[in-house]
Amino acid sequence: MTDASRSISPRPAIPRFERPSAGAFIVWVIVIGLAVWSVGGVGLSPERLARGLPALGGILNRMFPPDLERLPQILWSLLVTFQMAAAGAVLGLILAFPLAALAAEGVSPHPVVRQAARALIALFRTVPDLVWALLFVIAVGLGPPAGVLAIMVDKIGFAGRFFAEAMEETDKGPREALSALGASRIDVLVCAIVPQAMPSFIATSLFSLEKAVRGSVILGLVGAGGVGVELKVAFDLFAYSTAATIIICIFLLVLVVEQGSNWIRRKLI
Amino acid sequence: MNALVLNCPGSAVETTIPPLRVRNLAVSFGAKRIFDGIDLDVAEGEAVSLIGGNGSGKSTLLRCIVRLVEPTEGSILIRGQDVLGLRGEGLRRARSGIGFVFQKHNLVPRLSALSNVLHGAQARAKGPGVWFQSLASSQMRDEAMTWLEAVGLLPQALQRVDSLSGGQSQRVAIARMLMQRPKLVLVDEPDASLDPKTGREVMELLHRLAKAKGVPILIVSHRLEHVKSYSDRIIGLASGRVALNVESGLADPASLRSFFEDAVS
Repeated sequence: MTDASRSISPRPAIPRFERPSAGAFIVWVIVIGLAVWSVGGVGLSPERLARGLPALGGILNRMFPPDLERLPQILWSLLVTFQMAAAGAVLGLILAFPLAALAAEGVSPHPVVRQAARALIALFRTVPDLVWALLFVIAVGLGPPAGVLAIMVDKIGFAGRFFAEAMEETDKGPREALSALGASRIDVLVCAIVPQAMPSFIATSLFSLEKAVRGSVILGLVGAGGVGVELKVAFDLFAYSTAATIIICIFLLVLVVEQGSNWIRRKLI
Repeated sequence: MNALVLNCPGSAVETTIPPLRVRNLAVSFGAKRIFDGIDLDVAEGEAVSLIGGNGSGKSTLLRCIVRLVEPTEGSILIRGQDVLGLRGEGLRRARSGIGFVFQKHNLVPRLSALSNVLHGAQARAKGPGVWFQSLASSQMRDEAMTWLEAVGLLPQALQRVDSLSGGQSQRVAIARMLMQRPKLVLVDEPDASLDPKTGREVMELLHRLAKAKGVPILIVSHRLEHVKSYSDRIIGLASGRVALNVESGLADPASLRSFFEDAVS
């Protein structure tokens, strides 16, 4: 045996997979058990899926060719849908900003204010926009105003959270520099925090608009105006070829808004 | 002599309060003591260097003076006013007279050099006119341009600061400090992240501008040659105490080096 071979100790076998801890094992069992229980609970079975697929095929078959007879009315409703989304998103973003400033750690004037603002944002975010739409339809009546208010509240919750996180993640150095020279809280927010968080604000705002456009279609189904109302009527009357036209129009609107926001994102960020 | 002179009632003795007087200052972070019993004065027009090893509390001491760090005990008098009891508007007013140049310049990225310099005026003015250069009055813009010119960055006025070099950024930070019209300047290792030549230029600029305006300046530096060249007096911190307080001309190079060796180790 040479000196070199004596000095090299046998390499220990490294297991390919780590043995899970007892805690991890229990978590996995719970997660898998929950999934199986949920699928069983909703009655989703292979037989039911097998029966449903031909029916879906039948509906798709009746959708084509799309009926263009109501295209002018559909396009008008689509425009209303876009207006609802844009108005709701813009109002929501405007109101989200001060609420986010009050909710952001290091920006908020007091911990009690911060907690209250965070709770409000959480409430706006966790209640689905469809529920807000139902509430506003009762409050202000059927039509686009209810949709605008529902989108606005939903966007305050959505953008408020991301705006607050963006403010918290800004570099503390510039904030300290301005505080150290005697700048006010507003000066620090406007001059040190907003410029740093601006790329994140823009990305969140554009994503809010995209989300609002997609969401505003659904809101019409509960009477909050826009093209969703047309879609519901078409399905209720089994006018599947008209529904196909509406779905294609919605798809094109969402596509245009997404492409537009991608372009703006590239230009501004 | 511009130092504040107090006539103590019932006493024939005049007490001269320097622009900066620190007495028995202590800072602890939880159970960890950073320093205690710190006494120091900075006289009118004087340049004082603060030296010491890593963790000796030099930067913490500077941050205490503007209350970015709260001391555990002691007093800090800025032109006779104890700043430790101040809150809100009073604290803002006290801070407005103290220029602070940070180690990493702490400029606002994405904004132009001119807007960053303009921010210095937030010490004395409020509102949109001191937020962005595009909203500033002609008078404010002119003053900010004057300071950018003084630090040799007029051509870069509208350039975003995140596109400037380290040395240029530090110069913008100095211009912002000058825009503040400070009566006391604190400088925390402005040369730390700069190459030797740029570091020397920045120190020279600071020294020249402070001397020209007769403003007292307290500088933390880790470079022996800068400490000797750009200060009238040297104060050394060791083991949480003032271990050295000497005029720079009388400083023993070997004893100074021991502070820097400590810093390196």
